[in-house]
Parts: sequence; structure tokens; C-alpha cells
Amino acid sequence: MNTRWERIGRRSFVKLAAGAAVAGSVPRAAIAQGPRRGGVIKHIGLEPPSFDIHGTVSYQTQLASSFVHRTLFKFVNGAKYAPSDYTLVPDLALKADVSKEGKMYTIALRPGVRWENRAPLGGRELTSADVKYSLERAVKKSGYASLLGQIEGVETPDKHTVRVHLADAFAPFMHNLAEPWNAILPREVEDKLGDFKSADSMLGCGPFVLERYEPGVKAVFARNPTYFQKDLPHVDHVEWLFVKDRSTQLSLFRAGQADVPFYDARIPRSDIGSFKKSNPTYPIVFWDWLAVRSLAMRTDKAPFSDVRVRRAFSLAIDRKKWVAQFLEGQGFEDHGPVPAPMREWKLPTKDYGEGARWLEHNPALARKLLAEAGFPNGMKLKCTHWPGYGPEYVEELELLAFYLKQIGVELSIVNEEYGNYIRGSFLGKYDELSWGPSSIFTEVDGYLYNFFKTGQPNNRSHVSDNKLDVMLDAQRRYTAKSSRKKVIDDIQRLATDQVYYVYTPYPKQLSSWNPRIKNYGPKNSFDKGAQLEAVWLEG
Amino acid sequence: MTLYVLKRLILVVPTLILVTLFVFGIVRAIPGDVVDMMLEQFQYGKDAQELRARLGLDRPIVEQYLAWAGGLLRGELGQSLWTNRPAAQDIAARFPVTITLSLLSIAISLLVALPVGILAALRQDSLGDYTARSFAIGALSVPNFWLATLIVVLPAFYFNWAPSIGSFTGFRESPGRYLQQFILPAICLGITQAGVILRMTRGMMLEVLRQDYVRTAWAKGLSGQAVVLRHALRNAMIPIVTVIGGQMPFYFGGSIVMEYIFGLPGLGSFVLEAISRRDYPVIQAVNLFVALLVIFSNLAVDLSYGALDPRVRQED
Repeated sequence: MNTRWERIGRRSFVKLAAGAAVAGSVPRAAIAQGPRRGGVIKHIGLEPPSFDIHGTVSYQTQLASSFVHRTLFKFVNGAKYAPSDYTLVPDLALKADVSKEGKMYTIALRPGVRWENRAPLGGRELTSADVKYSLERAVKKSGYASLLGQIEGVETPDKHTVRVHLADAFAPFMHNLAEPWNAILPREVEDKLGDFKSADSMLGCGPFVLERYEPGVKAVFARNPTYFQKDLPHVDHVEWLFVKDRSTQLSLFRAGQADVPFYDARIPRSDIGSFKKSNPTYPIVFWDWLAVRSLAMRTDKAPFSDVRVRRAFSLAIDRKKWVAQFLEGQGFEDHGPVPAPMREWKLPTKDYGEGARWLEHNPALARKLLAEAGFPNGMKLKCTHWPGYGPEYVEELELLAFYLKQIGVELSIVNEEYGNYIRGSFLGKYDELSWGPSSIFTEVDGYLYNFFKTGQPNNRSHVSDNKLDVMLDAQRRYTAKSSRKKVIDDIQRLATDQVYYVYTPYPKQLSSWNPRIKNYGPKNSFDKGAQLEAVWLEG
Repeated sequence: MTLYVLKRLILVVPTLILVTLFVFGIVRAIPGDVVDMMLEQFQYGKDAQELRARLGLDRPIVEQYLAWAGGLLRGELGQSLWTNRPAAQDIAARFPVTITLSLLSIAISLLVALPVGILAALRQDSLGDYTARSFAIGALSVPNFWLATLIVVLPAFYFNWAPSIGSFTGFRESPGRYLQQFILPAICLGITQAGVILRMTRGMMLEVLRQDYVRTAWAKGLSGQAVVLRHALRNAMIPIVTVIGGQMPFYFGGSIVMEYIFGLPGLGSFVLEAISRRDYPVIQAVNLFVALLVIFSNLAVDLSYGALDPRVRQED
């Protein structure tokens, strides 16, 4: 072994080995409760723009790919796990050992994993060369490449071992290996077809094989008979339906023609009553999702370069009342920056220190701060927004405008066309204010580094804070969770005290599915294959 | 007649050139550039300049147009910027769905509008006539997407039943099941377009039924069927056929919404997807193709005048 590499860290090894034990036990435990083989799940899905997981960051592509392609590790799935439980369990890998400095990962692959028995793969065994090829391809082509840290090299000492060398320790590395865009792909397919864009390239070693792809209609995934988890999946087929119209999706679901009404099973909040009436046996579940909403401000120029103005905006909002009345108790008061459902990282309000006072509802103090900042008569501001997110989002923005009006701030809402919004306001190109939901990230780093690090495209508030930048880099380097947590706590304290964004409350997600599907649990992840391999149908 | 057809065919050329200019220009007027979308939304590449160059979008607009038009002359409709698939391949796969839906919708419009329009004219100012006229106004007023949504949503809500959507049977697999999938969308589209044809049929029949030659036909003791169908309707048909020809774009346009709601894999849902992704070559190809269809279907309508009215043939 090269001398610059550190010895393998024992703690990481033990943790992942324990994870392996959990992974092994999940299906067996589930089977003991009576899983049944067979049947077809009809699932409303989304048609991907392409099947190349590295060629696009489209979540539609990740969803479809995850049925066929597998990752080295995966998140726990099943009814007993929380939607944002990202405990890692082995998938194509059995374990990973991390060097003490966190710069080298030694990954042991699961032996005996076979690719589909079709040309050009012919059912050959998955090896470390496949992992090397896939990681290098991801680094070269994926828009998510930065989420793997700086990979210096990938070694394959033998056909079941992979060593990944990072230029610097990168805490989210292991987590991100479990994201569907990091699935392991076979090189022969690219050699034969030129890329992975077409459905013909969907050859994998996952729980399902792509049996049929009908553009504009559906993709049919069939149980993979050579899947390395012999007992999984329980169902024979999943029909991934590309029905686009929302009212049609919901009608098919009501009529039992679709078992799951959307890719994440969501149904509109306004339909709860009618669903209880038309489908009384169907579960209706509120669950935690991660789409935080924030008011981004141009902190690089007046008036938002003055922290008193930003604090005044935060003080104007009655978050408790917002959740209790507007969201009927089914939402989060969430004040960011870490989403409330990420409980292991989220700092309780009482621990925010000085910053906690800006989270209270105190219009009098808000007006006082505005006056001190030179705005005794309030101000008029433009706030950009894309109304296409849906009527409930428009209502939330109107509620925010209502609260700001109480402190003399008149918000003029500028509705933007999607193209303009997504390449403009969404990336910080607006004049004064912009409000909307964020992208969904499954690793806490996504909500911190992207939003606060100087110069990041998603840093919509144009935050440029040296102290924060240092902490943001540091949290990426700490591979020990306790140390990283301390830094992330400090980031939350600083971000809250400086009010770089005003986070507004948001509703819980509402989902329903056909009760004949067992062991189904909502999940904040695009790894649909892992979620559906664990479910079975009632007899 | 031959000269007439030749003149019309020659006129198609400048029309098509105008269509290509319009289609090429209008897709680029949609806010949100395809490169921005690929980069910022889908991370399709790493550098805007490189991506723009790769897609050929860095060249002057005139050059891009000429390259596209040159391709058209060689019979190439272009390739999708997202999938690299030739647009012609997707159009060929999806066109049968759209044309089936459009033809069935036209058939339903005619099946409803012609008999009802004729009967309303024969029984002018009767209860039946008022009912038919009210139906026509209703059909004109009701948007087809609303009717389609009701047909999908209400039975699901009240009877836990929905039309079979989410699977599609090809014609070769089962012709019966293939046609069955189009019945509801064709009814929605056909009924709403029937209003125009019904009103025109009634109006023209009323006018023709008052003509001397119809009175003569009655006086000669011809049967009612012969008078109405052979003498009156045939002469009333030219304006009606003109209206049907003029409605072709509405049938094609309406099929976009119907395909979306009923989950049919036709050109409509395909172009909608392409628009949302700013897939210029695909949008251009589909629009040009539909424009050609409309031009030639109108030509066919014009040619049918000769079959309906011998005087048109004689003029030639």
C-alpha cells in the first residue's frame, strides 16, 4: 500500500458492517410477517428525458434507472423507516472502510452479482472494473460530480475491491454513493450503443429488468430472476405509467387502475375529504418532505445588506399561527437552514442562542429595526415567483406578503414565466426578493453549501461571509459525525442570527396508495427500485 | 381540374416556405433557451458555450435556418437535441394515434351534426329544432378539455370507475381494442366541434330547401329521402365541407389536449413535451408536419367540390 494512505478507520468499518447486518435482516424480517410473491403494481410515474443518469440531473431519469441499476449502498426502505431515514445499508458493496484522514475508501464488493443475461453482457459478474468505470464516468459527465468530492483516483486491487482516493476528506461521499445517479453501469453498453440515453441501454443488475418501454405510455419492469437478493423483489411487475394529466392520474387511482397516484404517492391536500369518501379503505398519510421554502434577498446590496432589515422581515412572520391555522397543524414552522425532517442535524430552536430571538413573532421590534435601518415608513419591494408551482404556493406567498404588510413592507409579487424563473430568480438573478421552494437534497450539505457558500449558483441570497465559508468547508471535511454535527450546529446558529434567508413554514406531504400494497412507506428519495423491491401485494 | 390542382400544388411551395420561417422563428421566441434548460435544470452539460456549439446553436440564426431547410430538402426533419433520435422516427410512431383520433372525431362530428342539422332544418322552429340549436350552442360553448376532464373525473369519483388509461394497444395487436381507446376522446373532441357543422348544415339546408328546384322535386312526387339527400343535401354540402376543412387545425390542435388527458401517445403529447424542453428540431418538425397535413387536407376538401358539384368539374 502506498505510504501516503492512512490506515483503515475501524469505526467506519464497524458502522457499515452493522449496516450490512440490518440490510440482511430487513427482507427476512418482512418475509416473516408474510410477504407474498407475485402481482403487478401500477404506479403513476414520469417519463425520463433520457436514461443516462450521468447525462442529466433529471430526477425522472433517476427514478426510472433505479429499477434496473443499483448503487454500492442504498438507504433503508420500508414502512417502518421514516421518509428521511438515510441509514446506509449495503447494496452492490458489502462494506466500506474509510482511512483515518477520510481520504481513502476501500470498498468490498458483493461477490456473485451478475448483470442481466442479455447481449452484450451475457450475465457476466459485476466487478471492480465496473465500479471504476462508473465512478470515473460520473466524475467526467455528471452534473452532480461535485457531490463526490475531489476524486483523485480509483484503484481496483482485485475484482471485488475498489479503492477511491479523494484529494480531501469529504463527509457526504458515502451518502452520495447511495444516490441513484451513482448507480453502477456496464461499460459494454456504452461501447455498443455510444451512450446510455436510449431505453435499450437499460441493462443492469437490479431488482427489475426493463421488459417493455412504450414512449409516451409506460415502462414495464419485470422481476429480475438473477437478482442477487434471492427473495426480492416480491412483485412480478411494476408498470411505470406516463399519464401526464393530474386529474387523470387521480381518477385512475380512485378507480383502482393505478395503485400509487404519483411517483411519491402524493395527493392534493384539497382532495382529502373526497378521497375518504370515494376510497375509505385507502391510507392517507402526512409525511415529512424536504422542500423548504425561503425568501431570498439580495444581501449584496441595500436594503438587505443591512442585517436589521433582514431580521425585521423574519420577526414579521407568525410561524406558529401559520402552521396552526393555514396548514391546519400539518406542517413545519421550519426556520431553516436545515430542514426540520433532517432530525439528526436539525438544531432545536432553544439551542440557537442569540439568533433564536429573530425567529419569534414580534412586529413591534420589526418596525423598530426597520426605523433604525432608515425605513420608518416601511418600503415597497418586488418579489419574483413562479406561480406554476401550484395554487398552494401562491397562497403561501400571499400569506407572507400579508405578514410583511403588518410591518409596513408592501410586497409586489412578480409572476415569472418558468424559463425566466428557473434560469433567473432560481439562480439569484433578481433585483430585490425572490420566494419559492428549494431543490430537494437528501444530504444536509445540499442545504448548506449550495445556499450559503460564496459564489455557488444556488446561493440565491448572494451570501458572502468568510466565517461561514470556513465552516461550510469544514463540515465537508469532518467524516466523524459528532465533529461534523458541531460545525453544522454553528452554521445554523450563524445563519439564523444573520437571517441570510427568511424561511417560511411549509406543509407536510400528503400521500395515499392502494392498501393492497404492503410494506410501502413514503421516502424522500428517487431510488424507486429500492423502495419497491421491499413491498408486496396482499393476496 | 388538373390545372386547378397544379396551381394549388404550386401555391403550396411559398406557403411552406412561410410556414418554415414562422415555425423556426416562433420556437425561438419561447422564453427559456434550450441550453439554459439543459444546463440549469437537467445539467446536460458542463459549459454553456460548449453545449451551444455541440448543438449547433452558436451559429448565426440565418445559418441555422438554412441548415435546417437544407435538411428538409434532403428529407431530414432533424434530430432531438435531448435524445439524438431522428424526429421523423418519433413522428412516424406517433402520427397514427393522432390521425386516428382526428378522423374518429371528424366522423363523430359528422354523425351528430349532419342528421341533426338536416332534421332541424326540415322541422324549422319545432321543439326538435330548438333542442338542436341549443345543443349546437352548448357544444360551441363547452371547452373540450372540460368535457374530457368531467368524463374522466366524475365516474371515478361517484362509481370508482375510470376509462382504461395507462396502457395502449397497437392496431396490429388488436384493431378492436385499438379503436376502443379512442372512443371517449373522439366523442369529447367530436361533439364540441359538431356545433359549428350542425349550425352550418341547418342554415344551408334551410336555404336550399327553399329553392325552386327542390320545390320542383317535391312537385314531381319524389320521395322525401330523394329530395332531401339527393337534391337538397348535395347542394348544401359545399359550404359544409368548406367548414369541415377549415376545422382541421382545430381537430389536430384539440387532439393535443385529448392525448394529454387520456394518456394517448400521439403527436400532441409529444410536441407538448418537446415544447416544455425547448427541443427546437422536434417542435419544428412536428409543426411543419401538421402544417403540411392541414394544407393537403384543405386541398383535398377543395378537390371534393368537383365530386359534389359537377359545375366545378365543367369549369375546368
